[in-house]
Amino acid sequence: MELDRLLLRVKNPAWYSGGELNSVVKDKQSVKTRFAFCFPDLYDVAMSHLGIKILYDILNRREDIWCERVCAPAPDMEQLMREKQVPLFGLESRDPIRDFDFVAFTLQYELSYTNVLNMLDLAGLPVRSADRTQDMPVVIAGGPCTVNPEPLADFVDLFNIGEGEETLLELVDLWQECKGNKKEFLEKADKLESCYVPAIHDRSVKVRRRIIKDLDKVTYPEKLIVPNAKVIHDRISMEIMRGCIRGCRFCQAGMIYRPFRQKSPEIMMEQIKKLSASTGYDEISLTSLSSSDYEKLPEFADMLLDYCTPRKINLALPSLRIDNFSEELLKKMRAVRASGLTFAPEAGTQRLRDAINKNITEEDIFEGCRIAFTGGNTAVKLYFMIGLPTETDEDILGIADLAQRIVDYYYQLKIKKGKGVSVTISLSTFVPKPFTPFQWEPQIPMEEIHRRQQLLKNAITSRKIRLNYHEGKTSVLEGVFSRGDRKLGDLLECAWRKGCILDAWDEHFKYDLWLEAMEECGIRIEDYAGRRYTYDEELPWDVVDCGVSKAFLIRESKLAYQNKTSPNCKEKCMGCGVKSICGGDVCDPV
Amino acid sequence: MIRFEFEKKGTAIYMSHLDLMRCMTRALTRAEIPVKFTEGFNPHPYLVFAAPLALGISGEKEYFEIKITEEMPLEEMKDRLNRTLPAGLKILAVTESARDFNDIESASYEVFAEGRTDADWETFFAADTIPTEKKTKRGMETIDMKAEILDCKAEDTEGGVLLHLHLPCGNRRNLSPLLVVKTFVRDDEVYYTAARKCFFDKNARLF
Repeated sequence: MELDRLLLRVKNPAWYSGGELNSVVKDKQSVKTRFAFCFPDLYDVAMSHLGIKILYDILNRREDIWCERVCAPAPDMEQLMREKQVPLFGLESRDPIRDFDFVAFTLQYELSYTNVLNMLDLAGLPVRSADRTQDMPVVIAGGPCTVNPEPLADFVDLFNIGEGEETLLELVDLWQECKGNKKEFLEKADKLESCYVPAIHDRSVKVRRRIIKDLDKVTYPEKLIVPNAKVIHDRISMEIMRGCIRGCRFCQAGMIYRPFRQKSPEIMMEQIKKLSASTGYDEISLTSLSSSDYEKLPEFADMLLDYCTPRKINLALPSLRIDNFSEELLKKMRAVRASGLTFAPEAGTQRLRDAINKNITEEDIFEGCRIAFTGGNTAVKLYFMIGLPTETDEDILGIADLAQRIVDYYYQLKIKKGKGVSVTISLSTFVPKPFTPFQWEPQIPMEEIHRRQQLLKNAITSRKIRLNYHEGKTSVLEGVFSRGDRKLGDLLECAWRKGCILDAWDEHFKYDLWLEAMEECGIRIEDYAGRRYTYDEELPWDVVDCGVSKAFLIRESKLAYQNKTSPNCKEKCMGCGVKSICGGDVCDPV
Repeated sequence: MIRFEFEKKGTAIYMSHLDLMRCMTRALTRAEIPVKFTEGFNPHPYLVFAAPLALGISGEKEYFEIKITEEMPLEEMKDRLNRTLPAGLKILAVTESARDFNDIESASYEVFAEGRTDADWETFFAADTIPTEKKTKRGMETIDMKAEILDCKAEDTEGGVLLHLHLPCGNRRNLSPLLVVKTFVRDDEVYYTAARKCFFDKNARLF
């Protein structure tokens, strides 16, 4: 009731109302454990995320657990909640989450960290673990950013590293065994191989990333919550595989989701049929790090198209590699609905593409464009990065040159008279990430980001080429936190207290306040993002064993400086070490 | 054409008209009702609503119509949809279409404003004109709200005043009860609710 009094006063009331189809409402008297699954960002981002849906389903399948969703409120809602003293609540029950057993956060990107603090505060909980009492919920965190848990170590009671499908249930079991004794629970949980309780963990004991060996056997939702209001990805997501065979040297996802594991088409078709019946969605998106590496893609695509076409369901196939998507597949997809093509060459010259181990050649790029253009596309979007290790001005100018040659190539093909071509360059800034061969590399400073962006901008002369880029401030902050240590906890709290929240949103990001907070806390960008870490120093994330060994990362790092590529996992095993955590029997390409 | 009479209450009132269209499209798909689709590049179902209901207003007798490709018993369509609608939406009746939605000229609403009285309304409504800013396709325009309100009765009720408003509703003229109540209370802090009860045609006969 109190909530309804606020909802008509905010811009997006459906973000806070609950009541969506397939959301799970249970009788709170009949459940033992209440779990708040918090996504530290706005509802429309949260509800676009697959992971939360998988874990929500797994937890709620257990009769004795009630898992609810919690999102960061937009500033208009936050202001009203604070004014009227409405504590942060679960969307399903509208009960305050400070009375739950678990308050769990998924950490998908560094720029959501202030939202974690803000949500704890809105819940009426002290932000620091040390200040929370025994009767307050256990605050846990998972997701890709937890491979370096240190920046949040002062705020989170327990990190679970790796895939959560099995561990979350084990943690709930342990909690029930401990009968709600938080101290006992944390001590026991810290002994589990994938769990890290920063307050008590012995750093000489490595925390091992947990993985699911067989994706065909793990529970996948049969129902998805269908939001009442439009969200960013409002569709069925079908995860077709985890891990990536490629080993691009800047890419954290390509390292921390190893090994490469594929799902079988038959099982996915069954899952898709159920999801389609339970949601009524008109779009299915296949999700993975590199869809065209899925070995059974042609036959799976046929099965999918047979199902989707008569039902007028659109099929989205993101993350295609330019060197191996098939012309035939593209033609088939177009039969359902046309969509633009996006590729990621990442670098403008072959030398740099080799150094980062992108493993695509110029011929691949032009062949990809030929297929796109002859298939009727007149627009291609290309992702590039600036600030990659070893990058020179020549590499940056190479981006403009490549885009120009793609434009010229389109006209050489003489496909359609009078129809113009459009090449969009989407430019991001390199951020060094833990557990990548580039984890030791410095990030270029702000002024240099601007210089390189301007260099590229000035090199583009054709009006057929569009250049999109961000200012770079958020990349710098991401660079600070991705390789951060526990000292950043003070900075995080200081910046949040100054009013930094929703840092991933341009309209809310307050760089000045961040700089102020850094000044006060004695944290310098050049000591984190801008510093070259050395091979032999102890890294903040050394407490985590992600599977890939440091020796492998060093080898790859050295090859980058020789502009030498490495074969992908299917061609040759490079001994990354992931077999150590998966028992050696699930590296399926080998 | 098949006509569905439905209600929109509870958490469903926070759906905008576009949200509701999307929601019904998906519900019809889930219910496997043989809806006819439009031809063309981006096929969408033939789905027409009587009158958009703004976000925040509940509806007690709302309508939409669809075209179907094969026969299905009306009761079955009702049951199928009701099994798959989100909280707050409910199909009340399914019939063959009888009248054109374009016949709708007005609607009656019940609006509750907390902490206000019948006397407050009488004072407000006693003015000769009530100039009000209204958002239109052409931008903000000033209208005389008083001239637009077809009829109004106010009664004191527990905690506030209940207004029975008869307002133009349809393609030609339209006045939102939310605009009326906001202009009346002139205070963001005041809590109010609004419900659309039913529609009328140009002869003020129940639609």
